[in-house]
Amino acid sequence: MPDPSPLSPTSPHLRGLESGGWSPAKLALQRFQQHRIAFASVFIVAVLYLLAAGAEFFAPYTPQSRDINHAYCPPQLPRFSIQSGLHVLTMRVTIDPLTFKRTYLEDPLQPIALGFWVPGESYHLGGLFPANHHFLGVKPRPNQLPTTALPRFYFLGADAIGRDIFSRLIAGTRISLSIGLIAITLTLFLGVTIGGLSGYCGGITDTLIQRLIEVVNAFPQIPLWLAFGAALPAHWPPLTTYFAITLVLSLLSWTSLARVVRGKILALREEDYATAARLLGASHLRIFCRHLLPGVASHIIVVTTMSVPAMIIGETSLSFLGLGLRAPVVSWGVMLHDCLNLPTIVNYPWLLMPAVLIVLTVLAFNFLGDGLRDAFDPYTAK
Amino acid sequence: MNTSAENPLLEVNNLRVSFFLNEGVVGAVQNVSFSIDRGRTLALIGESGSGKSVTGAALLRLIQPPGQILSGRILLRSSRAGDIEIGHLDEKSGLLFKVRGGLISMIFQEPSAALSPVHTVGQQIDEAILTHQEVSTAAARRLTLAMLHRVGISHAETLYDQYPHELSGGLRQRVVIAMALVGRPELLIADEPTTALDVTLQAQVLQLIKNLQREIGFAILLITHDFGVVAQMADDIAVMQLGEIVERGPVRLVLQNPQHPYTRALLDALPSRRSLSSRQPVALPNAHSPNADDPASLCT
Amino acid sequence: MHVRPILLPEKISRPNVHGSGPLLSVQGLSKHFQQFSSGFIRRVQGITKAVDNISFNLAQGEALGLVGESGCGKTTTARCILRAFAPTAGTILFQMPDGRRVDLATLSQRALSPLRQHAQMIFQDPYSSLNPRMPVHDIIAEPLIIHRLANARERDERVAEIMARVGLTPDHRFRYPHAFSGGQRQRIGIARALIMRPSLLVCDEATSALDVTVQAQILDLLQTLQREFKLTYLFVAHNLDVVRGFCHRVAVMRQGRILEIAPTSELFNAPQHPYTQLLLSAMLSPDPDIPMNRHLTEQLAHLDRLAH
Repeated sequence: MPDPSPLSPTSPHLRGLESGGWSPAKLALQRFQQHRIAFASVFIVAVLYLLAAGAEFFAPYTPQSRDINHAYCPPQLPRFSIQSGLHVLTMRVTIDPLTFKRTYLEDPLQPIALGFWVPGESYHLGGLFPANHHFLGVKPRPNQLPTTALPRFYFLGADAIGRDIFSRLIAGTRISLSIGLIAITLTLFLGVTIGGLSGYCGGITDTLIQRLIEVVNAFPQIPLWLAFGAALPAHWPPLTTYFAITLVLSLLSWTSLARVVRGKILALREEDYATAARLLGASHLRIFCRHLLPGVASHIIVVTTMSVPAMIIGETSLSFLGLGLRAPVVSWGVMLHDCLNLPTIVNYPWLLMPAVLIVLTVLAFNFLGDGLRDAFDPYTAK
Repeated sequence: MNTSAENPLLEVNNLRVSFFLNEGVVGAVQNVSFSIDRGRTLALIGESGSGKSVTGAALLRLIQPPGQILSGRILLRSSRAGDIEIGHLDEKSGLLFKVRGGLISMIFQEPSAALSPVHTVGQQIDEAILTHQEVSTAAARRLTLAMLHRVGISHAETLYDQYPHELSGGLRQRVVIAMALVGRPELLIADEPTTALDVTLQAQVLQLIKNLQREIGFAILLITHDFGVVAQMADDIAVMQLGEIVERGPVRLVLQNPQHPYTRALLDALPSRRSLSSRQPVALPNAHSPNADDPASLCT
Repeated sequence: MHVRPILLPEKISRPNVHGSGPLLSVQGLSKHFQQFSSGFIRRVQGITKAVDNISFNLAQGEALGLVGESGCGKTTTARCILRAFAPTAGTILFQMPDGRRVDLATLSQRALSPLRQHAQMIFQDPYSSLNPRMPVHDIIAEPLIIHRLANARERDERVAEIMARVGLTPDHRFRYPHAFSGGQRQRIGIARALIMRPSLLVCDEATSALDVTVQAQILDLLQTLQREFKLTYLFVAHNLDVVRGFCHRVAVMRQGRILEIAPTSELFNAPQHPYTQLLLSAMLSPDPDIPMNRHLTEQLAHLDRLAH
């Protein structure tokens, strides 16, 4: 005779509350909102994807825009003063005649005013809509001629040929984050179908599929990625390479999702409500889709959310090693590729900014996944 | 019931336990008071949500957040360790450690939940001994085997090295009882000890507990929903409904002359009370004469 | 096991008159499970005879109790009859509403599907027998959807109607199962089983997990529904008191066999089989003056010795 503890949602003490009409999904959402870090992570992830969507607009410069005179310019941090408003200070360059080393010094007397919604380099938003204005840029002086070149500013510094790191970071957001999403979709499809089949059918089908999963898992992942990456023809256009990479990433990562799905389906298959559906005469497809899959949905969402960082890091690693995306495509991994030699990093550490963003993204997704898992399954939360 | 003049072994006064959940506050136990005399059995009976299990857990300070003991006095008058106010003990105090398993033991409904799957039966009972008594491991083993014999397990030496999953449900419950009693507690809290067992096993286990109670002399707080168990085991009974005790008294008095409407409703709902006249078999429409082929037709 | 079956029915050879013969006639039903050895290559190590050659009849409008301890095979029998899995041997003759009799044991899954409307089951655990992610309306309407028995509007009407008949508030049909108590959830399960108006209802420990007051209400409901819907019950239970008040006849099972089958009053007042006598003596009476059986262990051992 079950004596449900006061903690269980079926406790008689709680039944009269208005949460009775809510679906389990809505209850989970409510629990999720109380997990503050996870809730904050949603905002961070949302901001990142917003940046990715409107990358050309949010970046002050196009990714390829360069100025060799400002090679390896250190970061110019934004300041605020009453006279000049939001501004950065101009960098004075001095070149040592003996070593040819560039030294940058900030000139406090020459502020460069910044503004929002300023005209700048033209671009095509999303590759389609021509536009001119940028979210943040150098404010043109009131009586300045339009043909005068505007001074450049570098929030996060410049790379070897004077390209703005900040702009390239934002541009790279689009590639790095979207690869994660597309690869995940493929993984989702493969994992749920194969894992579901394995769990539902049982018997020989299950055994064969599990052995297949073990074979796939037995391949060492990084060497295999490298091999695939190296096998991609160099003359392929960037977009094709991009899709090939996503394919490679997902073909090797569906197995963990398949296992999770299989385990859950195996358990749910024995539940009374699944038996009841069978005794009512439901077809196998109906039982699987209507009764079993919704029970696995929470696990799938959590595993998928936690897998996105792995995809992002996968692409980043491949590009970092030069085997994935290559210039002129901009992704975080491609930017890190420029950091492959130690003297560069020691002298110009701001080139590592993409790593900071990667860490931020991965943490945000992990906290998000944690929060989702706690929201869906409150009994193991505390 | 503190009917006798002597000091009761356990006195609980105004116990309140609440659970603080996102959805609201659940008052699981509200102002519960009772006492148990030495060597006697008090049954706490109620339906789901009555708070009886929470009460039992509170006595051993087993309530975890979001649950909390809000107030109440739990006084154990131990003959070995003096008077102990369990309600005021610190979570990490040595005295609480001594109480749990040493002075007050608990057995639960599901024996498999109380037994570790990765340790043998012997190891687990030895641990129960060594935690509370200063004896050598050899002596602990002897005590374990003796206890296993006492709970009616004839093949104790073989069982000593077996794992819980190798045993049947009934044997597991006996092992759990052995583990609980090996420290010679003064009070045994039994939370639905036989609900998960078949009726024949149930009778045997209850008989065992009764015998051991006579031999060792511990008191029992029996938490159950089954009036049959109560009638056979308890001296006194307290009926709980939604966190409060609505009726209490000696078991014969309450069962034969219930005062509170809830108690009456519970007793009236008992299937044994309702089945005063069993239903007669259905007559087959076209049965002219009894036919040995069909049993139903024989009873019209 | 010393089987002295009482009143074992022989092969039914009645003429097929509509409404006469038994609703269900089980003959020689067996269900064996194979035990596999562990390891990579699994060999068959032995056979567990969960159900071993049982036979009984179920008359129309009757409530037959199937009692026994855990592992006796009563639940396996119940699920076998409803073809949750295929039996190893035996026949299960079911009388359809149109008069013809079909053998459920040998039908294919496809042929079985339309027959599901006539025989349904209610489960023991009210917390796991309802899909927690479906609103109650969908749960109850599902049989109608599967068998395409009604369109959307008719479904809604029938759901509301059946909910009222089992004692639920039709307005609550868009809530989720977690909003209901154990007893109410059992009512939802009953509504789901009855919406197709079956003739046979198998209750697999349907009240064992309920509080005693709720149990009484559900049993009353089942009795009322039996009259209204003209149902026949196969009532699997381990609580003999419940069976006594609910069933017309009782069959006692142990280790896959039916040891005794008799009308309820006969079984309880004058049990023939020693195992039945033992079961009855093991019951605890809520009367403190009736002591429990102290010699149960010896009697059980004695019984087991007789068997071997």
